[in-house]
Amino acid sequence: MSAVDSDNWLATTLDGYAAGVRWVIERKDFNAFWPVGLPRAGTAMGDLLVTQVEEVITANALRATVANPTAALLLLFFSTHGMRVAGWSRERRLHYAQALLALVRASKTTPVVDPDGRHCLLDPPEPWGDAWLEGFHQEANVFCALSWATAEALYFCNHRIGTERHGPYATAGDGQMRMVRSVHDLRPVELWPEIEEWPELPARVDVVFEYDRAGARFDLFANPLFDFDSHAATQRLAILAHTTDGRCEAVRDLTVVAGWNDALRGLLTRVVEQVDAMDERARIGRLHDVMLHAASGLSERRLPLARQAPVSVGIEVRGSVEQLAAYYDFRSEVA
Amino acid sequence: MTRAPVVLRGRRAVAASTTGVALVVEDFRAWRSLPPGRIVVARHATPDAVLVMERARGVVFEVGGVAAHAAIIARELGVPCVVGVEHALATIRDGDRVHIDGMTGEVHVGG
Repeated sequence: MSAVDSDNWLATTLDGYAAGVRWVIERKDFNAFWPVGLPRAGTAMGDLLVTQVEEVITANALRATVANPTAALLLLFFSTHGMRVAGWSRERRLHYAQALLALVRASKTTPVVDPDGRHCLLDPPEPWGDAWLEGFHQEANVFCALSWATAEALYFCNHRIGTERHGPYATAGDGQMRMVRSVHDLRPVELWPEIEEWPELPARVDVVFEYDRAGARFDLFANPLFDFDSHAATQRLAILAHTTDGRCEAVRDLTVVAGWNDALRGLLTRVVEQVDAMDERARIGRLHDVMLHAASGLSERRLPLARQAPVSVGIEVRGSVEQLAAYYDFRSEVA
Repeated sequence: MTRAPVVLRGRRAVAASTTGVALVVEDFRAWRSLPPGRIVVARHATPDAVLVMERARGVVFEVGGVAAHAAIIARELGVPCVVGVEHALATIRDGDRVHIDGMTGEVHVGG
């Protein structure tokens, strides 16, 4: 047993990571991830990216915990290409992976990876008694869908930068559970200088759902999977808005949520129009900056956006499940 | 002449079923002009697909799995959805009667 993994934690975690990667690839669409027409990793996730992220890790600038640990997992996932391009040694790859995995571990009460398992963060929101809205409310679910799609548009496929889903959390009743959708950082103004109009949204919104049945499955990237009708199972929900100065307020007026939804529709449309107008080189450059933005969110240090990052065609990351799973299997990087 | 019914198979993303009239969508950017209340049929979902999905009766995607972005959004919206339906675009035409079986992942076309 190596000195860097004396309790076998890293080996166990990487095994779980590999299993999770395969499971997700089998059930996702990595051959067609957005932005469409960008199947190549290229410089966006290349040696320049991992070198800049490594600077943050080396300077011990990573936060102790983060609200969206899945973003750290995705950063590791997409860094596999850059490490190969950079020709890093095993030790260097190991140090990089350990730092990101340790951040995920420190931010959750459950294991680093969640193969069909729980995904519980350190500080789930605890709604006050008067925050609850009884029954199902369509506008709240529409908000969850629109914010997810908008985060996907703003951060390309790495929408975990702007959202996190977690749970299930215990409730007082048997056979019930709570799950949370957290939405944050939907105003990456410096990432999108072309977008002139930004909606006024809270710094963070938590939508807490209480379902009338227990059990939930999450994949490696904290995608919740229901084998029941989640709308019909909704007993009550709470919407918590967090302000930039740290206050948390319950939102009971659904016209406020309807306003957020209208604002998100507009923002989503504007971002998609902007991306559609970008050629492949521009999209690669933007994706590179998205990854730097992700790393900045995990650290105490803001990484300057590359803006004019050198663009290379890179390699295609398409293929069968076997090919893709092997490509992203980090165990091969540290073997 | 009525077409013989066809059954396509995919992976169910939402545990709900529905029946309706098909709307084949090639470009989600035209979302404002697309009629609501139809069963949307498309190859895959771009982020703006949510703007069509939230007004749809159901959705069928030719590619993707149960963890695909389209499936995740369909689950949030509660819209019946089947993904990974091979040959959906070659089989389903605008105006076809479509039944989505949210338990089996089957898509029944015509009949």
